[in-house]
Amino acid sequence: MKYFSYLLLIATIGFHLVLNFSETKILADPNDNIFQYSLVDRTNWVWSQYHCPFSFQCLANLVDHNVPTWVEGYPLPFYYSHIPQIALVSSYHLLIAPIVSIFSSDFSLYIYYNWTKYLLLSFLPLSFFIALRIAGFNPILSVMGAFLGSHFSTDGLYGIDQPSYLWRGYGLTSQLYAIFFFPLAIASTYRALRDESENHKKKYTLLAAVFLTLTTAGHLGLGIMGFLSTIPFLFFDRVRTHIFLRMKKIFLICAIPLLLLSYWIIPVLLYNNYHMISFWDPLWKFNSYGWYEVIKQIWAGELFDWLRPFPIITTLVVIGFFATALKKEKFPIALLFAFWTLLYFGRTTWGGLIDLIPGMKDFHQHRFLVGVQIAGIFLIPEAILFLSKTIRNGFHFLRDAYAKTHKNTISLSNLHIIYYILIILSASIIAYLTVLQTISYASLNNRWINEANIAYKYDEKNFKNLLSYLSKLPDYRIYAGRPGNWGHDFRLGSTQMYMLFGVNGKNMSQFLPETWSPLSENEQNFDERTPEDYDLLNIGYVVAPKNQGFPKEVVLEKKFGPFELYKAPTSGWFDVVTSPMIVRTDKTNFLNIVHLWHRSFSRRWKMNPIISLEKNPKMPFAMERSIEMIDEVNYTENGLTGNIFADFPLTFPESTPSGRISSEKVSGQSYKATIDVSSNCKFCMIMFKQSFHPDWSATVDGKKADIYAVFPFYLATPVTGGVHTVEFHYSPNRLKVALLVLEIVLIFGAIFYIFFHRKNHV
Amino acid sequence: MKYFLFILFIGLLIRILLIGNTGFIADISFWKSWSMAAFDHGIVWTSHNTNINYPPGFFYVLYVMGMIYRFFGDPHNYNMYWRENNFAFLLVSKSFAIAADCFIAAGLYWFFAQKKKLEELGLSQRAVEFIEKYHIGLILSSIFFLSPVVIIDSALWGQVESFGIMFTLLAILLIFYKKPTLATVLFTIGFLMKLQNIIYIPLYFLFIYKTYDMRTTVKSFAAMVGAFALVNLPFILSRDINQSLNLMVINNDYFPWLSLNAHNLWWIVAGGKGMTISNKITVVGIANAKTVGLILFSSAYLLSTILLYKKPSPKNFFLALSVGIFSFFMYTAESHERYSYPILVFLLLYFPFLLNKAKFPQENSSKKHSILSLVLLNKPILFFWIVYALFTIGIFFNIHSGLVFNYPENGFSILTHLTTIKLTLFNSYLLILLSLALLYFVFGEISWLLGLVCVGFFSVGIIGVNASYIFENTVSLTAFKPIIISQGYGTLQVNRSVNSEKGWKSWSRLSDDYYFYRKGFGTHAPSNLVFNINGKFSNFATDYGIDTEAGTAASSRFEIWGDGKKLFESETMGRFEFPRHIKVSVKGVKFLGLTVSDNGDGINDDHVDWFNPVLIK
Repeated sequence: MKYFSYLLLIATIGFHLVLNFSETKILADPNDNIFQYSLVDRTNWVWSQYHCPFSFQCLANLVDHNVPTWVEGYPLPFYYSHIPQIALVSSYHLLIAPIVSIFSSDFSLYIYYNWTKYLLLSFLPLSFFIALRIAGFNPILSVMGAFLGSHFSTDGLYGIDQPSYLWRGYGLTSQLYAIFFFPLAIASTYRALRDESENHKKKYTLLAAVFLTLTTAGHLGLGIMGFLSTIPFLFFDRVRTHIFLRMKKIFLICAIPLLLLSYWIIPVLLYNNYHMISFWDPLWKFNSYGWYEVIKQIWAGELFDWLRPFPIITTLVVIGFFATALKKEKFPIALLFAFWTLLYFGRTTWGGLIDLIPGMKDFHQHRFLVGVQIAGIFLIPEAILFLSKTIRNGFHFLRDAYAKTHKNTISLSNLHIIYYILIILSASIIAYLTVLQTISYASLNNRWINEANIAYKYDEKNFKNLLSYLSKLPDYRIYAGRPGNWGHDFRLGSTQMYMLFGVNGKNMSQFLPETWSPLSENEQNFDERTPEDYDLLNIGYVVAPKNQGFPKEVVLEKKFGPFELYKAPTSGWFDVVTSPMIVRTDKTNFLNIVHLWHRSFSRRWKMNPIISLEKNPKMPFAMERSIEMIDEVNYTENGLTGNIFADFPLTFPESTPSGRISSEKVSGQSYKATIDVSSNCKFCMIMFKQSFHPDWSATVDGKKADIYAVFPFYLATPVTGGVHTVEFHYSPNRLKVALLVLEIVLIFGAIFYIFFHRKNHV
Repeated sequence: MKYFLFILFIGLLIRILLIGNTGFIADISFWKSWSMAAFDHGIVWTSHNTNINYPPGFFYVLYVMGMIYRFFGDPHNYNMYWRENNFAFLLVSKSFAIAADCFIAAGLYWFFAQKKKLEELGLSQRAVEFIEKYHIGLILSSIFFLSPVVIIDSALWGQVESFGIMFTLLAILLIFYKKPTLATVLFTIGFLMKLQNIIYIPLYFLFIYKTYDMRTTVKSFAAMVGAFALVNLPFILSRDINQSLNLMVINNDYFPWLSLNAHNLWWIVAGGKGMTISNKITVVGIANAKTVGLILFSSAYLLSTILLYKKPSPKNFFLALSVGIFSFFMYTAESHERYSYPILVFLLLYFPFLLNKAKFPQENSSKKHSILSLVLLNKPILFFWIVYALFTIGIFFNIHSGLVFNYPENGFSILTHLTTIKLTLFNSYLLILLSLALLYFVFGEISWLLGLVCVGFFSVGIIGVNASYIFENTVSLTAFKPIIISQGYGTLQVNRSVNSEKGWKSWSRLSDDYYFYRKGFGTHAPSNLVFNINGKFSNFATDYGIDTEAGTAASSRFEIWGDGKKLFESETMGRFEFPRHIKVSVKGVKFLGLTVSDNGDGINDDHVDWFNPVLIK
């Protein structure tokens, strides 16, 4: 039976390998993979820029660098997952590229990226299978659980199902990295807390810690879910002393990943005010759907069986839930499912209560579906066991009844065959009904990839020529439309042009793959008919299918087949502004006042107030006005309350500051300029058009200068009249680097200690 | 047995005499419409194409009702079928509840004849002997079957309360007979027939847990899910379970009034006009009647839960169910007059347990004399029967007045003439006193100090909903529910734009030309929202404007009203205008109105919002 199970597992993996092979041939993604691969591409840029792997600067910059591609630049790896990108890039350079180069010269990092996600997706059943084996299920039940777990289906609810990862779906590759280890972390935690044997406990404690670390490294959000998933395992029984002991073990399991990833997690917590909660993100992402909608989703089979004629997996999960809850040693797994279902109700149901869990204010709570589905995988085998036992009992009952009335007329052993045929038939029907939807979804995926590739190739040359031409021009931002206007249908293949430039290392405006940057909201105030807006966002180029009514200052430069390249007016990366007022705010209350500023004359007259998220902000000079936002529209000033629309708090400068940027140079993560500032410039600041983050530093005429955030949320440093050389530079966070070094020392120290300790014992 | 059959005969005779009464004509008409649809087009179709607001289990009853009627007449014969005095339909529709009455009476009679079981359930040997000797089972089942409350509900009104109770009782009996799984299946069918039975769920599972163990509780819960799925199978197979779930919640604010003729706390608050006053009126601080009612009910329910948790026994189970259902009737706003009925059944089942501590009369007394002596000898028993009798009178009068307020000709004429608002108010006070009388039995079981826990719970609840009013200078108007809502399109959305009513995929924050707000109201012109702020505030400040989701044709004017007097009128606002801000004095204002007009050019695209509306103390 064991080998039969392995065979089934291979068949399951083989099924996905065959079904999704088109994923390896993708030429351009139309989904979040654009974002994911752009991060890989940027990591690759860091790898070459900082001479990895043999340089001191390499590791620090790999884990913390600015990503200028979208929303006026943001140090995404500071907050977002970066270890998968580093693993990909380093394995590509150190292992894959040298080996593949022997056979072929055409194996790019992008192809490698596609292969890794394809293989991870296809091998997900292996992860599920091992997790179920660790949880104590026999091979045949484990493989059935793994099989069904790989066929979950939702209408794109961002769960662990295929629509989350495939080309026609959402491209949540970062989640995929974490999903691979998440079930293993849960299973190991379960065993670490359940097993009696000390050896087992140690082994699974270590494994749980390792898998939890890998889950968190793959996706911080899922990592948090991993930590939360340990809570139900406290309750194998209700004996207080036992609960206390398990609490200690869970503390150990969680402490290891927290320690290993502290270089990432601690700075995220400390600098959380520069990680924004976006109003642009749909409400359901932050708040989830509420109890009523979730109950509806469950009963309608939308969490596991979208578009199936009968909610077969949902039925198994529900049966499994009760069957599991009835087993003392498995009870916490049922509890885990209930726990995630309750949390999945989200803030829509729990309101502020859910914010008592650390990190929930910034969390996309609709992702708790992942917890529901992962827990569901562990329930399926128990359901199958329950059903097969029920069928067997029923069968035995019938057999006994039959035997009583038909003595010597039938051989009882023949009836066993009927039983097995019945079981195999049931399993086959379930399998058949299950895979149909997966095949149906994937078939269309494969067809669309093929069609998109043909369309992509048709104009690929023109696009490459355009890229090549752009690479010879100064490095300004590009505007190629946006999702809400003509940009939506301006594509190469099936991919919008505003997405494609990012993958090719270009800095874009008006495409918002993430909304964490404090500038992500107000970037969207851009109006393509207003020349000043190009300057504000340093949009130097427009790529469009034709002139969309751009202002006269935006002039056609060159045509590349269907792509027209325009040049737009911009002062470059720097500008001289005046900041006579300061706005103190939290990390969301500034959005409306910045929007108002954007639409006012204050902005046109280059009055860019200082904006501070700090409780006690420093100020470069005595301010004319200082206001504090108390909510999204109301503010206080000198103890009085005002409303931004009724009282318009923005000041008008005495005159528009003038300055001339005589030279500008971009080198790595440094931006340098020589700027002539007029002598009568009051409250004068040199504004650098990248979003503010404390990890930037500035020098003015070679001397370290203070940095500030000015409207819309750009970096700036104060200057006086005269000619100045100004340089802004992004460096990895010092605390992050220190923690990273400390961890490396600790890890090596631990390894040496274990090694010598054992040697001495021997 | 022959006495029981005699009682059954008498009871049935009374019912048959009353069947021809057209009863609560609206309800009978609904049965006609829904049963015809269910039989002609099926269950799922009926749920979509009629105004049905009953849970899915009841559809099967309607289906059978429709089927049986076809033996008597053709439902498609319009004139015949829809005649108010269509006796055949009255007979068919009322038969279900009458059959349930008979079943419950038989069940009571049978149950009190089970000597061993009664002892197992905690009755003393002496009590059991007394029950047998003096035919207490017969007496209790007769009290039920001949109760005017039971008769008026099923045979006169044409309602089906007893149908729901029948399933609950069956479930309870099966728990006693160690069949918790089957019990739960029937219990589930019960609340899928009559939704108010859902109130018993926490007490029911707590009792199973305390009587058996966690394992049995889980099994029972599984049985509930399984039974729910089975009953809903037509919806599941047609991938339309949403519709079924919708039927389970549709009654929330279906009739948004203080009291639906229920003689309860809110009937008194309404001065006897419960069906004309909104359940959103502000009653305590800034809390509205509905919220206060829910907190009151939850506090009382907590008491019944504590009782069952601390002293789990069949006796206390019946007492807890009585407290639970009567609190639901007495304290929640939007309660129907009929919701109190089940207490009369649960109290009958509770009574025999009082015999455990009773002083019994001398052996040589005559039977009749003995029962009377027993009652007179034991103050708790005397008290119980006085309370029970008053409950019967009070509930009967309540149901009867509910009927005659709508159909005066269908009541008992003398009583109809006696029924006045004053008398209904008196009845409400009586029923409140009776609900307090139940505490006598509760605190006979548990310490009165535990009652303080419920008082504490109530206090915390009231302070919680009033927290912003007590501790802060400003209160968001979103903390209030409007007592009047009318708008030209969609439904009022709180903290979301009006299009959000389409479902979560359309949820959008409130915004005006991409200026975003966390709080406020998303509505559509012409819109009228009235809030009962009770003169507690001095100023009202708000932003307002056209929502970003609106089309370019939007144009509206915003007005603020205080007690019918216009306090503010805006200029015409368009789609691309910035939000505006206004602050007005609302000193002494009891009813604050927010209206938005379509500016006289039609309502197209007029998605309008009140942003960040706050009341200032």
